[in-house]
Amino acid sequence: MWKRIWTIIIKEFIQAVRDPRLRIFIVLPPIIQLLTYGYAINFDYRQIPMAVWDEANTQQSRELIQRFSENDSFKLVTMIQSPHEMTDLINRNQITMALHIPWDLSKKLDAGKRTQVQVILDGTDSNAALITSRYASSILFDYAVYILNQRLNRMGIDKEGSGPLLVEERTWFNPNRISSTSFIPGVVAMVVMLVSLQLTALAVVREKEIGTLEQLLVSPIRPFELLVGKTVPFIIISLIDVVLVIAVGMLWFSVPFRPGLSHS
Amino acid sequence: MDLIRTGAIFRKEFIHIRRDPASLIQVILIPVVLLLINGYALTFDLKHTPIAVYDLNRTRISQNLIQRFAASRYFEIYRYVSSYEEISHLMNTREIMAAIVLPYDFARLVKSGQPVKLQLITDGTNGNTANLIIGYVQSIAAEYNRNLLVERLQEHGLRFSLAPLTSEPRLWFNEDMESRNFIVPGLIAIIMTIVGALLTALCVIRERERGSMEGLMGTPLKKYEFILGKLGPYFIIGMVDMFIAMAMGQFLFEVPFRGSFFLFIALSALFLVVVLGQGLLISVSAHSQLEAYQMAILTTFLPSFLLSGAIFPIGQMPKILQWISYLVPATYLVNISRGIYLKGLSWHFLWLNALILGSFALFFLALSGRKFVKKIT
Repeated sequence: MWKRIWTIIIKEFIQAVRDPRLRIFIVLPPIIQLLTYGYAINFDYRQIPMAVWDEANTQQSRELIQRFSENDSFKLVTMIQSPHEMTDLINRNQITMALHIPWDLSKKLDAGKRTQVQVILDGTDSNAALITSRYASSILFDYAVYILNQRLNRMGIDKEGSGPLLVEERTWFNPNRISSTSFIPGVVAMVVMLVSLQLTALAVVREKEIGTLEQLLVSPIRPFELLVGKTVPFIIISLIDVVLVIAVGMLWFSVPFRPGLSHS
Repeated sequence: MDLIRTGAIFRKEFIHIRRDPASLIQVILIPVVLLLINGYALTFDLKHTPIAVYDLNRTRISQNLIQRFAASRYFEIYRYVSSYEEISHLMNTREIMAAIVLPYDFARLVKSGQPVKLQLITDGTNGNTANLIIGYVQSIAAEYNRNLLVERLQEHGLRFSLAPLTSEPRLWFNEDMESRNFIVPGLIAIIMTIVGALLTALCVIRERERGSMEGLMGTPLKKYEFILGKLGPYFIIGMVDMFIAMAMGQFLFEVPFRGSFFLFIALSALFLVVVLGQGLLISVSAHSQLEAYQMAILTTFLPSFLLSGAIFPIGQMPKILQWISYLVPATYLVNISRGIYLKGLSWHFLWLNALILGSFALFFLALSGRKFVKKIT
């Protein structure tokens, strides 16, 4: 029995290696899929397109705008002059966020009054909007603290009280929270599933199609032996694909691979 | 062009589909299953994230901060722990997504106005979630700081506006921040791609493989009559599936529909012609049903799923993938669909997308017309 299974395994291997289409099929689709998934799935928002409607046009408003344009999270696409322009840009998906600075910004700030800037977000993509809004408010908050400190300094009180609570974040397993590091381990599972599923699905039906199944039927091989002999080569090929995909993930996307890290 | 002959092919194809239960089930199940799975599973919203709290300080002041986390709708305190090992264990078993650690000298430092560090540990296996969690924690910390500042300044007898600059983010088009409002309109494009391209990819090659093509070759049927008759039933099926998807979006997911219903129908019908053309092109170029099937998955389903922006944001992809995404017809329907559904856009904003879809349709139909030779091979 083992001998017959062994024969089938050898035959399948030879077939796989000698079939140029199959040879390509083993290597190419996993890598292409890994590359597309690795690059296409990216939730690390950078260079979010934004527009600014600056009605104040003072030194302070320009300072604030500079904080946005110098931040890597944002890309200042254009300066606008009217709400109409803003709607238009958002409708055409040109910008995700618009910042509206009111005309009396500096007047109110100098007078020590509270002033409000408007942040308008395209909420179509709720996830993007959420992250954008967070980036924007942290820039605005920093600026507010800066102004407050300026004011306190002017009054002769040093900044003893400003923002003592700091958040020290540590992200385990993926310190920089890179999307590809999160997704590629999942892609490995998906790629292997697709490849092994398709290869084994083809294995028997191909014999049927070419007509060689008939030859197998008259041979002494039993159905169980045939199935085992057909499956084992593809298990090995799939495992080779696993190694391949993990290698590409590690070398190309620098996804860490840490076996034996967990102690629990 | 003879409409009677086209009609005959149309009827034949329709009967064919009707009497093939497997494909009939596919036609109805694909949109329903895809929408159910993706509509519910693909959610980026964070609510009640389980966190662990490791309070080394155990004072009223530290409790006060923890209380802010407990009160937030984004977090739920899963457990109070007393060691880093416990955090590590809970994180490994995925019972918590984040943990906060308050240092032993928390109250003293806060009282004396010195900087104090709140340690936040997040699970980076999902980078996006970790990012969101950090954002929420930072906003809680910012608010806490502001309140401290108020107290401190009041001690000094000062009472001026504390937040010199505030902002009120306004979220347009998706006020409730629901992921499904974003996902469902995009999914319609994917569903139509799958149904339209996959089914038509098989329609011509099947006749060839089964040998029934030869019988058709012997009839006076002309090339375009054949193509039109073949595509007709799939067009109707595609539209039916679109209505199923729309109805589910409306009644099950309660996605707002703000634009013109007829404009949406017209433009998605145009898109359907594009994917039918794509499927037809595959069908006339493939050598076997299997090959046609694989080509259809590779050239229509995967790009529309990955690169159309239906699920993954195009703006954050590398430039090369962004350019490729312009070659994926579904990209334009995703634009149109979100535009009409959420933004209520009119023709004025959408004509360019429609024009590009129209060009795609002409291109695919003309190319498959050229490739399809009425000859016995």
